[in-house]
Amino acid sequence: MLPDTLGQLSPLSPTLAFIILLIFGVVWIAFGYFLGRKNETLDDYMLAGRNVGLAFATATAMATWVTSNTTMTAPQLTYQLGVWGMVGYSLGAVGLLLFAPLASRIKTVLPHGFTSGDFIRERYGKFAWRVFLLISLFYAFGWLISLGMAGGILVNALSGLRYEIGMSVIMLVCVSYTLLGGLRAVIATDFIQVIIIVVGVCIVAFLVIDNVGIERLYADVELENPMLLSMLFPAAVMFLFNNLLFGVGEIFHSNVWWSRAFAFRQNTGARAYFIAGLFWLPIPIVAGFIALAAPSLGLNVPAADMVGPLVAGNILGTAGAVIVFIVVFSALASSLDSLLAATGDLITQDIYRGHVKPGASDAQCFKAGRYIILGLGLMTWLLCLPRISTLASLLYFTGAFVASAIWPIVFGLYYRWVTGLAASLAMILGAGLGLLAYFQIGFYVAALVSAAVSLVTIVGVSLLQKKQFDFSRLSRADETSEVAQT
Amino acid sequence: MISLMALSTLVYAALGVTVLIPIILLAMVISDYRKGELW
Repeated sequence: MLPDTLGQLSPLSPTLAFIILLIFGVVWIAFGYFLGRKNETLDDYMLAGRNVGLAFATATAMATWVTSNTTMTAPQLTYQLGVWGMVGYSLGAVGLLLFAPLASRIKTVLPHGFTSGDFIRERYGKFAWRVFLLISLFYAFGWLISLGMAGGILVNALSGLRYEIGMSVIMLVCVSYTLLGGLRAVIATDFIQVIIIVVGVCIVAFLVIDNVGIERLYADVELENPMLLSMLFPAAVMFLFNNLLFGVGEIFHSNVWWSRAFAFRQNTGARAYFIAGLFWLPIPIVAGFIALAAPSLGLNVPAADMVGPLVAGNILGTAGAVIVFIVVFSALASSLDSLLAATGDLITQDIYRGHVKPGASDAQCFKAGRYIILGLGLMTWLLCLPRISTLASLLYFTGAFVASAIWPIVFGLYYRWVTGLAASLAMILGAGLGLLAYFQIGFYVAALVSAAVSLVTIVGVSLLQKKQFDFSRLSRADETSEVAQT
Repeated sequence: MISLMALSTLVYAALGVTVLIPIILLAMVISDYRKGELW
């Protein structure tokens, strides 16, 4: 946890930080209102009309994956784990690259689907669907709370603005424009936010190279902490594999990525996710390497997660602090809005229409969806207020859950021999033993154990059952549900 | 241990690609808009 007084080290005043939040907040909300006027159907609101083009599709996939973690934790990991820290973090792009063919397959097998839950229910049956919903909602709430808390903590650390105020303003802004504009507003703001983020990290990186230089930076790190340049840093190599698997699990199962696959224009999903992955790959390196300048600048770093802002602030003064603040705010908003929209969709489609009011019409879901986003925002805000846990522990805790869903998703999309019982057991046993590993061994093995147990279970049980799934059932169910909803 | 040359190449290559991202994204948006495929 960051100390409350860290903001005092920043050249950015609380007043200036509040003004920046206010200006960006008003712009995003006005934008959300403007775009929301075009939303007439549930498809418009939840899936931006299912016709999103390549440019917006690429930008939203990329922006959603660039969280405050990417811009703040990449320098932290470089500072702690060296070159492998930033390279390992950049391998988070593998999840986006591997999801590219899945996005295309999802749109083919379930063209009228709304959520990842729709696929699991039709492919594996109701029991597996409910297990999946528990995992998915647990992860979504974990990520929502950690993002909300990260907002307050980072604003406080970067400017000294009180945690409660920063967190509340960020939550209010993101909930407002998501509520008003639905996925269309989320995608449009994502496009602008990703450009702000990329330009911001490039400016800081250029100025670090210009002021310090790679040669001096390398020489000073070699002198003060040569381990950071080592290619055989055991903790860093272990982090690399865990991060890779965790990222894949997060993307494969989460409705954030599924709802985009449904929303993108036909034949766009695969290209969009592939380009987004390629574009995302260098960002943690550009954002992260600046941490290696800390020894050259003679910086005393009180908390490793503040090394990025400290380097930027040292080189650029107030201007640097403002750039970092805007980049971090944009990164937070681009993920928080996507998560609010996708979790709202999951609750509307799978809980409200799936359990509370079966057979609800699109118009009823459209209305309920707005209340659900509002309630979700309010609940997240209430849970974030007491600042219960640290960002990292919340995120890593979910690793065991998400990794257990990798194989049920991948095998279920492509292979006929995978059964509902096998998928359910794979998720239950994978998550359970992954959690056990988390507590008995450490966070770095939770995702690994979970994915391994899930793989063995799903293959073993499916082979024992010897059943064949008929994929035409998915398209039949898809057509039936579309007729019923209209 | 990573050499100075390898570290420089890694950082400059990453920065080179990252600088191009906003330009490519804007070009893609213009292209989608002209084709009527923005949304």
